[in-house]
Amino acid sequence: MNYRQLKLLYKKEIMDVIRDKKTILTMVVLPVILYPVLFLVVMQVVAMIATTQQEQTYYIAYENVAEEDRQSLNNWIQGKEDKLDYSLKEVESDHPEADLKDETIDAYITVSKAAGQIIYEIHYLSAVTNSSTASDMLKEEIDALAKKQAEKNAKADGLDINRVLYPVTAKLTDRSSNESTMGSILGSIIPFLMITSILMGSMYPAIDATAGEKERGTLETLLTLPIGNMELIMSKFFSVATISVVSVFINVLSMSGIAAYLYATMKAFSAAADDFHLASFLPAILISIVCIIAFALFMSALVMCVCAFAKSFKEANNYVTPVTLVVILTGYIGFIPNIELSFGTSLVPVANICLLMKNLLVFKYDFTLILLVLLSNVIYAFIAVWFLGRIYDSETILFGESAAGIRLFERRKNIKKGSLPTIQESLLILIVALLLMVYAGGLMSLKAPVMGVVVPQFFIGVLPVLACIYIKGNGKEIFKLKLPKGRHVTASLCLFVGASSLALIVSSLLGMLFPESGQNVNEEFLTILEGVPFWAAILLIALAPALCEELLFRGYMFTAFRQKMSVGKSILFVSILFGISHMSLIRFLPTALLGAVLAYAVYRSESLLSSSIIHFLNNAFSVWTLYYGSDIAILNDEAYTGKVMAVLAVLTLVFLPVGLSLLKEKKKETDKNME
Amino acid sequence: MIEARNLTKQFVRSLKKGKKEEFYAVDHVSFQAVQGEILGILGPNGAGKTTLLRMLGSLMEPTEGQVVIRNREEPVTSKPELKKHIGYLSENTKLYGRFTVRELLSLFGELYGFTKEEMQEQVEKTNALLHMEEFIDNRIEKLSTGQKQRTSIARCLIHNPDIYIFDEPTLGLDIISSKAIIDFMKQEKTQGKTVLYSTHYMEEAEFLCDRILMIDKGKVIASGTPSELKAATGTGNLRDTFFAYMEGGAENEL
Repeated sequence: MNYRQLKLLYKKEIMDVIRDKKTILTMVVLPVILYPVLFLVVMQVVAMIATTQQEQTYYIAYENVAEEDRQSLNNWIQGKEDKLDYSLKEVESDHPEADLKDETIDAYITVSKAAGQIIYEIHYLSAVTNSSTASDMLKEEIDALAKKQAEKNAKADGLDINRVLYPVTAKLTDRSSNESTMGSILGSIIPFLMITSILMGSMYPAIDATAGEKERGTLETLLTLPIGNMELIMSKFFSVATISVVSVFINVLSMSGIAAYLYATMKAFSAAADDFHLASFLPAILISIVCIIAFALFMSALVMCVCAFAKSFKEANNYVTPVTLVVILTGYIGFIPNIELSFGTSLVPVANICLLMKNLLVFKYDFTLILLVLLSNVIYAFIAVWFLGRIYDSETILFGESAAGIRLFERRKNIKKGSLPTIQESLLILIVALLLMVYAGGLMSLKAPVMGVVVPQFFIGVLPVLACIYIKGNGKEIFKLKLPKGRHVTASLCLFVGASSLALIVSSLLGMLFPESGQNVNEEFLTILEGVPFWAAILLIALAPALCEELLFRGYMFTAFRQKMSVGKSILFVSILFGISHMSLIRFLPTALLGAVLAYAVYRSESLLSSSIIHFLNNAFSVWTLYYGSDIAILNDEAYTGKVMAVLAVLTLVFLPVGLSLLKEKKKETDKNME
Repeated sequence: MIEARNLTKQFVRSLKKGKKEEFYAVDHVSFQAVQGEILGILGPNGAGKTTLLRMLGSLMEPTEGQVVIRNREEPVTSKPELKKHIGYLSENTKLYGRFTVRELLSLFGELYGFTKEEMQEQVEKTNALLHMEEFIDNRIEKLSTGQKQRTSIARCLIHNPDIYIFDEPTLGLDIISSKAIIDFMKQEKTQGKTVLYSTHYMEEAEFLCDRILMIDKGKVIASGTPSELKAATGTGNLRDTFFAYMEGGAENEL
């Protein structure tokens, strides 16, 4: 390595980037101005909401309440000394139920009496915010009244109040320090902001140093110089990393400014701040900075790797978008309560930094894990830099024509009619579908578990179709919309028996190795399908995936991979992605195997229907065993497991080869016809 | 003197369905260009001119063959050393717009191995040679096309190379800007420098070049002085000579 040249090139790269207005904007202006502004806006909104809530008057009516009871409650409510600013106001109402529905009153009270007891019944609407707030207040007031009355009565009877009324009582004492309470609040938001700012900080310089250089035509000029590949890459990498680290510091400073401001206001208004020591965060901040720098190195190299394939700024932006999506969504991990930093998570890029910072902010210092996070980031950075070196060694990438990337961000009028999908596009669709599966699916499953499965399926099916329309693709060609030949249908039936048996054997074997996970899969499905009739389950669990998943995996994605790769590689990658997308370790292998058979069937028959048939039958069979499997003694008796497996093995060995050869034979005939 | 020995570049072309095909962009090309000579390289689009020149300028690694420069006792063959002897200019060698001319020239000079002090002197010399006083401290993105062109020339002579490689340097330039480049080539020739020059402008090549290399489909199909080539094909000007050779190439293929 020629250090003099490295220094010169580094200086050149830094100068080049710093003189670019866009970098300065994202690096300096954004954090310095945007964060405080954002913060102030949020503070204002929160304050506004708080005041409107406090100044709110809630209207209460009584229905058929004796004057005496009404008076006593009203006097209590009005006369009670409390510091709250809200007020509960009594209004006359002839039809309280109707008024409540019209929201002219917030609640109304009826009274019933039992022996020695008055029961105030509060009628309210839980769906209306004001009404439910009013009801909470009323309940609180009435409980307080009840307590006071009880104490009064006990006293009148000459009883020991504590012994009779409060023989047992609970008291909460928060032993966590003010700092850790604060830390746990900040623990999810700060890592997220950090990660986004590093990403933004490294993105523009990375694009500028790679694709930007190509676009401006200066790369070839640079290559005329007697400098080595190593000096070239390292100078670019170091300069991008420097800038992203600097942007980290600017971000930290900007955030600290906000923190200091908060601290100062807190000190002015409350005594609690006296117990609050900002200094106790210092070690956490220092460790975070070290790890963040390692992360910034990794991020810079990663973004540069992606951008190096691009020929222009615009193209690089297209390539970076999926990376941004994945990184930002992984950054959300800090908001998920039950995920903690462990040996496993400390190796997951992006997530490890988030979780580590979250830990540090509540003063959890596990030095093994800190070291692991640091080390893994450094190693990832090395791998990314090495890869970058490979890219810059490749003349095809430096001088070659640009490959078609993701056209989904391009203007539609610029897209040629009859375009074929690209691998990047199909991966983007898969990522978006998977994310929708996690977020939207999770949300839907709160309403009904089965919806959590069905809604994502809908996206999986619709996204590739939309993409196909957008790129003006020929749907028939991309999705292989053709009726299969009779022979292919027979082949599909055979392959269903063979492949499903194989998948069953594999899953049972895996189930024996990892009994708990195997059990979980079945239980999961049973809870999802609770209360769903058999025919509906067939529609939702068998038919929907047989159409939707086929459209994405064997349709769009397989066609995309086939443009660039041989059949074998395409089948391999699509099947792996199919397996991964089921998001379960134990289901990966059987699904991937099934996926391979499905892809092969589509490849040979050139009809998506032949794989849909296999997929449908396979899933329908699973649904059937879930519903009626428990009625069949043989399947549930462990003594028969061996025999069942043997039968499955025979089925696999007979039907899989028959199905495959049925597909193949057809091909030979066409070859002969062609000759 | 620069010598190409069996220079060959093989590329892999991706076809549909993941199939790949190998083909020769430059197919075993050998020639020499001596000091004080302008060698023109002519050929249709896709003939392999740019690939050939990129290999000669060490921007690309040859699949086979070697480039040798022999001006001093020891022949030069290593990549960084070759680059120090070559000034390379093509339509793709653009300049860093965010730098001033002076900054760019000193940076490049220092990257060629000169010290800062040597560069200060060299930049002043180049400045005087190419008359860049009025814009030498302006950012390159603010310059006119002609000023940029002069800066490009300054960029490729800043390390005082023995050999110039010009890949279609006058493409898309107006008469005045291309004249600056042509004058520069003539002047360097008188200084005993070697110039390799590819172009599509036949008239330019005819009056400028001492010798011409015609290439098509990666192979040398003819070489000689312009008058030799014209005589061999019985044509009156180089344009017709070019067509004669290209048609001949097509016939040969049939």
